Parts: sequence; structure tokens; C-alpha cells
Amino acid sequence: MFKNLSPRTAQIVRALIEVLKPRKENFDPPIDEEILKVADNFIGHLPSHMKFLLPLGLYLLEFGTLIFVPTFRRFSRMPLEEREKYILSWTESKIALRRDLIKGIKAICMTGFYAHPAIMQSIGYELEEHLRKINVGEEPTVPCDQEAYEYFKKLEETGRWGPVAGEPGRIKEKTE
Amino acid sequence: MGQIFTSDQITKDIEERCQVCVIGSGAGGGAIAAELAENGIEVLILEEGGYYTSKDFSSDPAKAIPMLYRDAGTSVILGSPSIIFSEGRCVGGSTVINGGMCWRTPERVLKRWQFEFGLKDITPKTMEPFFEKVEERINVAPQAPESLSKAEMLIHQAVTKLGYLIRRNRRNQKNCTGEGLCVFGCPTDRKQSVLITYIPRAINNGARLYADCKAVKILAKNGRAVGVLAHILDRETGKKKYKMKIQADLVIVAGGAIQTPALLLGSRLGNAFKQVGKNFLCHPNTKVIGIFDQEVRYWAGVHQGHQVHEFLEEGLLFALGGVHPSLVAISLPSFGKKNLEMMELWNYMIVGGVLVDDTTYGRVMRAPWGSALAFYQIDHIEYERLLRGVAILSEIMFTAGARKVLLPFFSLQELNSIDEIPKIYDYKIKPSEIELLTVHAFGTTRMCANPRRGVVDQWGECHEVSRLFIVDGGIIPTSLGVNPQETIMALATRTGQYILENKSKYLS
Repeated sequence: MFKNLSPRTAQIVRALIEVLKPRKENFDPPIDEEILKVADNFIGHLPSHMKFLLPLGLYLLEFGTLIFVPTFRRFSRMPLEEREKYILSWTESKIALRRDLIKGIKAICMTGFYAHPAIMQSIGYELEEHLRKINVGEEPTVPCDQEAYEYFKKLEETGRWGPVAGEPGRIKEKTE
Repeated sequence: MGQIFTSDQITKDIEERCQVCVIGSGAGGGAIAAELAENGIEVLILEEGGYYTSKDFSSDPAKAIPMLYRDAGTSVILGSPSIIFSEGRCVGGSTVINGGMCWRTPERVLKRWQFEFGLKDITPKTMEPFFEKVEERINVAPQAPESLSKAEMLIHQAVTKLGYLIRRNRRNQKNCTGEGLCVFGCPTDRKQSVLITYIPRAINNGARLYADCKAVKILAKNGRAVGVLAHILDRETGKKKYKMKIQADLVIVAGGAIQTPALLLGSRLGNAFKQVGKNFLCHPNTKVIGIFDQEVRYWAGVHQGHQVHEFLEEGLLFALGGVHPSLVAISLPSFGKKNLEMMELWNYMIVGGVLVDDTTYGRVMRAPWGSALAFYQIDHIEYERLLRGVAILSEIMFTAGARKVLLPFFSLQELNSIDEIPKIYDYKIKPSEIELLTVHAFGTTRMCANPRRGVVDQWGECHEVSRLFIVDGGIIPTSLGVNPQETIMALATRTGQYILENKSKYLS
């Protein structure tokens, strides 16, 4: 079913996605499996050493409950609330590697999650509308923001927008 | 007329012969390939990544990042903290996914190169025609006011109020309307990346380009580069499909400051003085997020319209960076419900970044399994600069009207007023707690007149192996303080002209 995740690592990542996935009351779109596919695709592009280390990290997360909680119940079989607490302890750990593992998986989940149309809409990211608005012609004719346009236009007309020379920093010192 | 080949068009092992083989098709490789091809040289370009056009680009990061970025954007420079490193891996290289900022090499930097590295012929005056040529080729122009977001205005007003120097960005763009999708490949080809400028020039003048083709060894004989061994990769799996052998009069490497040293080390070339992969610089940067009471929609405009240049000589560069919500969500400390709560403020956020000049060196090594491994440990000066940079950026955000600022520190995650800025120093933040990333890499095959201190001479030719040139960011010997693409292109164009002027020496 998956190209890069084994059934066992997929189970761990699935349990992790359920915890990391941004959601709120009455808003929890059923896109876990889509995110899991995104994660599987990303993992296929990891450099070879990361491909080797990631499953080890996932197994540490899965069975680390014995050391870090401690409990005999492994991560993917814990109830959601306990999993959340467990992951929080990883994100707040003083060991950077523990934090980094969660950060890495989180990065993959967020990439899938916030690219979903329903979620983009819920946070007000109206990209398509923005693109339609500004691309009415070949040249920039419709301002991205009217207020900003008027402000910068005025600066341009009054010569107060600064130089457009290629040399960075203060130009005056160079010409003097 | 040349041609672009992709792996699905290739059905057997290949042997090729050319005058010049260019490895890499980004800022350096693309510029030199076009320069040579336009002057009648037979050029063959190898690119490890795929060939995609704007029709293939997507605003969906789950599609765009694996397609256009090396390691799907997960490359890491090892250290404490580790630094996330992003670079392009496609025809056009990082110019396809960068913000397109174009600055000439600062004069003080060129003076340092002359003084410290003996690069006497690289002066502002001698570089001037190359900068001009590059700027003309890639259409470097200031942004139109229509393309700027409200966030740009608020930050411009705040920086002006604080009395700091803010400069309008010059970018390689034609009629940019401010779509803000630069980092996923410009969907309208308004950003004038190498993919749509130098590569078509090279192809129209007879160059052949092999995409999905990874150079694995540079061949040398009697101290002279004579060719390249490469693998044609399966685009889906990344695995070797066929072999390719190229015989060339001249080999030019432009694989970037991390991949090029790994290729040289794997080829056992140019490393008699153990300089290959040393002196790695990565212009570390970190970000601050301002939360505003009013809607700012900072994403609705060009990726980056201005830069704060007040502190350049202190080694600090500030800018806004328009990115996708998923990339912001990743950097927030929260997950689950809290992450969504925070991301619901998306239209009220402005993301700013500070880049600090390197004061130490890292290293790039070749792992036994062939991959490049990069190491970099920030030193106390960079650490101080990062704290100062975050403090200044917070000051700018609060002056612009932010009610809260989210910090990149594990132990201090937010400030609620300008008066709280001293906390950045009081909290005794450990270096390992700073969240760092970078998109710039230099130094690993640096230019130096002295072969004991550098890998290539001032023309980019390897000290130890003749007819082997390097034209990527790796030859830049010090941090530039600004975005490097124009410097890389200008140096590559200069090397191209040098080769043309010495045709009889280098080419059959």
C-alpha cells in the first residue's frame, strides 16, 4: 500500500498524525490517510542516511513509552489524550534529537494539512482569489493592496523610495 | 538547436563527446553554459534533478517541494542546533525556487577577497561589466508598487520611523504582479530564473541538456580533467537506470557548495592540501513572527519587496519572507488544536527573517555511501548576532504595530510588548535552542591565489587539476551578507569569458 513506509512504521506515523493534526471542535476533516500518503511520498525523497535513521526514531517513539512515561502500552496503542501528553514531553525534551524527530514528522504533516483546500479556506488563505485578482493583464495593473500601492506610489513619485542601484547598503558613501 | 533529454527518453547506456561538460544547471552552471554556447562552443549540461516548466509547477507544497527541492526540502546541516538547508534540484537549480533577490557583491567584500585571498583581479571595476551583463540577461528590476503587500508597507513605515536604512529589492522579474509563489516555482514565468533565461539561450545555441542525470565521478588523466561518469536516474525512485560516459576537453562543476565538494572527494581530485569541503559557510538565518490586530495578509504580495541594510556591516540582514502557511505552521512550537488556533491568525501575521554573516567555518564531507554530509557549529559571535538580530526584528515588528511576537527560541517563545525585548538577553538562551535555517552556502571549494588555502584560482580553475573549473557558490570565499545569485552568475560569466579568451589553451 505504501511505497516507503512499512506497515508497522505506517501505524506509528498514523498515530502521530492523529496527534499532530491541527483541528478544533466541530472541525476535524477526515484527511489523515491523505496526510499519511504525503508523508510516505516525502520519506521516499529523504537522503539515504535519513531513510535509515527515521524508522529507528519511530521505533524509539513507539517503544519509548516504557522509559519516558513509563508504561507497557506502546505509543500507537495509547488513547489520543495520553499520546498528546507523550508527544508534548518529546517536543519539550532537553534532548534535541527527540525534539527534532517530532519536528521532522510535524513538518511533513503540516505540509499536507495546510495545503488542503478546506483548511486553507478555514484560515483565510484565499490564494486562488488573490491570483485571479492580480493577473487580469500581462503587466501589474491591479494592486495587491490598495493602501500599500498608494503609499509606495507616493514614495516613488516624490523620490523618497530610495535608490534602485545594485550595490547593497548605503549608496551615498560610495558616490561621494 | 540543442535539446533537453529526460530519463524517460533514454533507453540504454550512453557515450557522449563534447568540448565542455557542465555539471549543474543553476545560477553558475546555467550562466556559463549559455555564455559558452552562444560563442560557438559545444556544451553538454548534466542536471541531477528533473526538467519541469511552469505548467508543471504547483502551489501545493506537497507536490512542489518533492519535485523541485533536494531531499524534498529535508536537507540538514548537522550541528547544535542543526540547520535546515533548502536548495533546488531541478533544471534551473535554486534559481527556480529562490526569492529572486539580486544584489551585486558588496565592495567591502571584494576588497576583503583581494586582501585576504589574493584575488587581485576581482575588483568592483573589473566586475562591473559582468554584473551589467547578468542584470540584462535575467531582467533585474525593482518591484512595481502594485506587487507589494500591506505587510511591506507596515514594515517600511516602521523601519523608516526607527531611522534604519531600508532598500527596495531588485529582483530578476518581468512584470511581477506579486503572486508570492516564488518558492514553489513562478507559475507565470514572471520570475526570470535560469530555467527560462540562460537555459533556453544555451539550448538555442546548440547545447544539449540531460536532466535526471547525476554526475558520479570526474575523470582525470595526467592532472587534466578529461570527462565525467554519470548515472541516468529513474525520476520516480531516484535509482540508477543507465550509465553515461562523457569525454570532454573541459569539465565545469556547478553543483552547489554542498554537492560539488562531495563529487570532488568521490573523484579523489583537487584535495592535496585538504581544502575540499573545508571553510563551509552557510549564512545562518532565523525568523520572527509578528501577530497584528489588523489584517495584514502578508502573503498577498511579492515574496520579498525590501531589505533592511542598516546593519549589513555588522553582519545582519533583515527581510520579510512570503511563505506558504504550512511552512509557518511547521515553525510554530505547537501542534494539534493549539496549532490551528494560532494559524487562524494567518492573515494577521508577518514573518520576518534575519540572516547573519558567518564568523566560523563548517565542513562538508562525503559519507562512505556517497552522500554529502554538511556540518556547521555556530560560534559565540554568530550566537550574539542572532540574539541581536531577533531583538532588532522584534523592535521592528512592535513598531509596525504587532501586539505579540513569536520567537525562534525553545525556552522563550513569545514577547508581548516592546518592553519585553531585553528578555531575549536575560533568558540565557542556549545556542542549541535557536531554530535555524538557510538557503545560502559558500566556501567549500573557495577561490584563493594560494593553493594551500583554496581549491580554485581566481578564474575558478582547480589549482591541482587543469581544465577543471568550478563556478558555483562554493568558490565564494567569504559570506556576502546579501543574496548570492548575482555574484555566482557574474563570476560564472567571467570564467566563461576567460575560457573563450583562452580557447586555444583549453579547447580542441
